[in-house]
Amino acid sequence: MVLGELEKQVLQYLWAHPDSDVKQVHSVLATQRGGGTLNTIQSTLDRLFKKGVLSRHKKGLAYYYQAKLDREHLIAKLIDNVTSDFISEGENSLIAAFSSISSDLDDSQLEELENLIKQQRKARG
Amino acid sequence: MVVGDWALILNLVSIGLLGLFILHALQSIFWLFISEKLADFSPKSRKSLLLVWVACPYVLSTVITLFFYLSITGPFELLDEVAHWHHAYVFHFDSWHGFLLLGFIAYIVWQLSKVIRRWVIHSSDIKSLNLLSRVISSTSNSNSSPEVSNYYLLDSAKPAAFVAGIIKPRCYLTNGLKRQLTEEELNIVLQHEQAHLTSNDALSKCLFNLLCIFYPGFTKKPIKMSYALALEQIADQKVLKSHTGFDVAATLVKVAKLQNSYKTDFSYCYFGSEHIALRVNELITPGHKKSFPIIISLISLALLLFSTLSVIDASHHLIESLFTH
Repeated sequence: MVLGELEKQVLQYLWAHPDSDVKQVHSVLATQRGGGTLNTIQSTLDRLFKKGVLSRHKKGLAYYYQAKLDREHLIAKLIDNVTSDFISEGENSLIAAFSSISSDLDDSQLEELENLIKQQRKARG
Repeated sequence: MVVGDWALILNLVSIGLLGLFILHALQSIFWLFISEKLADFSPKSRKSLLLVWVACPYVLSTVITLFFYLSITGPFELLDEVAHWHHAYVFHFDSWHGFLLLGFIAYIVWQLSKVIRRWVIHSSDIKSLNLLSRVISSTSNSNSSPEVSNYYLLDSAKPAAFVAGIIKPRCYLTNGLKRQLTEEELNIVLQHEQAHLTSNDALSKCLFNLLCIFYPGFTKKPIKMSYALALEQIADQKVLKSHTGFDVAATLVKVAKLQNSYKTDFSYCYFGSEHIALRVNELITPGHKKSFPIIISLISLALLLFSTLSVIDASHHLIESLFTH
């Protein structure tokens, strides 16, 4: 999923003001640099809706939009997407992680490793 | 049917491909014997060895193609005795050479389309992550991290630190990890990621993976995992310039434990299952490791070259005596 700068601005507005229509979004974003025209905002909202990032319902003649995921959950989803290559295809990973994110070592095995490090540290003084 | 110089080119490409497949098959057999010996080498030597290993079929098949070209067109009778090719100036698309060539083209197109598709999706997600992250200048936070450049902080409770992006790699760190680490641990994580950044490991991994596409599954995965382990251990070693092996190992285990607490959120596949234990072991008990074995590598390359030449010649004769061309 790729987000453009304007899409980010729209999302940020909707995170702060859920359930807004295109006029409300435009009234705020129009004052910002690169905020876009009413038509541009309408297309951006449609695009985000089609990408599955927004949900909408009709009130009278206008659609009211809200973000499906809050900021933190959207970031978590993107991290999952980026690291999913790492997880699902393992050896095909395009990322390099400090710790391999998935490990079959359970907590007790990791504790054993921890104890080993402590022992070795002690032995070396 | 193609006749003349074009037929010669198509035959030479077929020879190169045959060589490529035979070399991959031979290497896959050898891998079973040498894979465990790799642990005796230092991470840098292991990285070089693995790079030579995966590049070897492409280089040698080019040499073999050149050999056949000289054997066919040149005045070298000796070459012709070692290996020769019948019907060099005639090429049938409905022959086994034709099927080999077309099959290869189809496989390459399929693999490349998969790679490009993944690359596009990956790049899109990274662009979105960049937009939603904050750039942190880590040097301003810590006096002890002069080599660490900026990183992208992500507002997520998931503990993660990684370098992503093939052309323009960047370091990402989540709040979830940052707030659970001490300043020293954070510095270790960032220096490790910085090492990946400066070495262009994401690009290196991508190219390495591309070179591995012709290995069968049972060798492809361990070869790629060995390479990933070597890259991680090289990055670990760079952190050792300013931290002890024990501190790096302890941080590694701590981060792994934090990530384990999020197991329900991640779909695990147990990639790198042994990596943490192997990396910890390397960090806390660093022993003398062998360096790159130049002479053995050269002898192995020469042996591979001559066995492949013989196999190409023999298999060509065998197939054409068993079947009609």
